[in-house]
Amino acid sequence: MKEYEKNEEEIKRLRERIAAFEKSESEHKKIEEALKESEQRFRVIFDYANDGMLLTDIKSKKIYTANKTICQMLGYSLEELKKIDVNDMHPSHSNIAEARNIPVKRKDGTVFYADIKCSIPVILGGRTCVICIFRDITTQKKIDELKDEFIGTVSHELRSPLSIIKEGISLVLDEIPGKINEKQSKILKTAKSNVDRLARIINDLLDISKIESGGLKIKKEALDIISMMKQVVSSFKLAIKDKRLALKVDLPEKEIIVHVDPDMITQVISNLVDNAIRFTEKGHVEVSVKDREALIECSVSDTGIGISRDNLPKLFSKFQQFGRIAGLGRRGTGLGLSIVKGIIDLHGGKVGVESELGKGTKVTFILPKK
Amino acid sequence: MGKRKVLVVDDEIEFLELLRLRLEANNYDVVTALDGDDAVAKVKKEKPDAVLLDILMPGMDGLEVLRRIRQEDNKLPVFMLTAFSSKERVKLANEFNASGFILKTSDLQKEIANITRALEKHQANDI
Ligand SMILES: Nc1ncnc2c1ncn2[C@@H]1O[C@H](COP(=O)(O)OP(=O)(O)OP(=O)(O)O)[C@@H](O)[C@H]1O
Ligand SMILES: [Mg+2]
Repeated sequence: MKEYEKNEEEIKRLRERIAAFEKSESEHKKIEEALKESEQRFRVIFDYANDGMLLTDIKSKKIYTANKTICQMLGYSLEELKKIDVNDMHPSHSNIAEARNIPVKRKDGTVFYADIKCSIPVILGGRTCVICIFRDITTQKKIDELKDEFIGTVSHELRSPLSIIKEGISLVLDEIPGKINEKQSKILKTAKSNVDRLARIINDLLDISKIESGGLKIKKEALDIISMMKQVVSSFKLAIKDKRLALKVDLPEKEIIVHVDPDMITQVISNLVDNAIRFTEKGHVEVSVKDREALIECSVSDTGIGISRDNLPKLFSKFQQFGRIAGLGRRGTGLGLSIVKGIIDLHGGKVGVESELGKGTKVTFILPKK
Repeated sequence: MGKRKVLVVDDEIEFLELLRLRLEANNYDVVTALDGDDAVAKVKKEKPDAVLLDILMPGMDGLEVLRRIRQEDNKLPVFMLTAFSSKERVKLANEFNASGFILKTSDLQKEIANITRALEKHQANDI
């Protein structure tokens, strides 16, 4: 090959390499731009999200980055946030996956409440981080409080006239203003029993709304569950006798001390016994208590109409009534079992039901003793 | 034993009048007050044997009336009347040494029979 041809060849190769380099350079730029764009896109979403977000290094407990919302929530600038220890803001930060109603401290020392969600750990720049999302629930809490207050006021306002109607009817029924005849008495008794029914519905509605908004606070006391069970059952003796049912009690002889809210657990047992009697036409109603070391197991069973398989999953929801029998007898509202479930949940227990149509029903609840 | 005098305090005049009928039928002398100030004055003036006191009243509420009564007289039986049982209120009233609670929607004949029994016991202890 001639010398100049060699050079030509060389130049050509060089040109090609330069072209390739320029191409890769521009591709690089493109990728970089795409990355930048993606970063920007996520940054905007991150910063403008309604929830506060933090990226925290699990080991050092330092904040790696944070969005604008959390800076506003806490009153810190991003630079300040990067310097503080997350434990100062709220304790046991990285150990939770999801937690509700957690107090969080602002820069100025004031506290707000948040629902917090944390991601699984991710590796970022060699550091193990979690992203934590804070939802400020101040407004939600305020609304719940207002709702409670509203329901409280409304129930009081409903009960006051109700007490006047009831006492008015009772006075006439008791013949204090003068004698009445059989027919008048019968009519007034119907009116009175429905006033009682209305009063019960108001109480149940108040209870359920409190349970749902978390406004019902349990006040635990140490008490003997056996004597409580006996007491509740004895208040139903008349109703059981009226329906000619047998009453079976399977209770341990020795007392069992449990730490529960007495009023609430009384209500749970009453609601269950009330159902057992109401939905049983012949046979028996049985209550039992079993000692299970750290737990206590109580059940109420009957040989009544039972509940179909289809209806079982709906049993503990509000206003569900399947066995509604036309005619006489106390009519329910369908709130009894949802209150039972609410109360047992509040106590950290469990409630379950076994039932067979036409054979009977057994409702069992388990409570921790402490 | 002569008739016992009871002071009934409630801002709800209709309830008050029904309760009066019930109490009179149970052999009580009834004095009424429609608000807290009147109640405090009547405790002094009428010297009742017992007080039935509504908790929720505009102005001076029942708990405040109870507190004032207790400043003068630690023994007078005072029964709180309430449209519903709030545990907080029960606790408060117990702190001021209320003698009992009457739910307005409960069977008032029974409640009054209970009060009569409590008063008999109270008087027996006094002698
Ligand atoms: N022991 C039972 N046997 C058969 N059906 C039952 C039994 N307990 C509950 N059920 C069914 O479940 C429904 C819901 O019960 P729940 O106690 O919640 O309401 P309720 O008894 O109808 O009314 P409430 O308790 O509010 O007065 C009942 O209407 C009935 O159909
Ligand atoms: Mg029920």
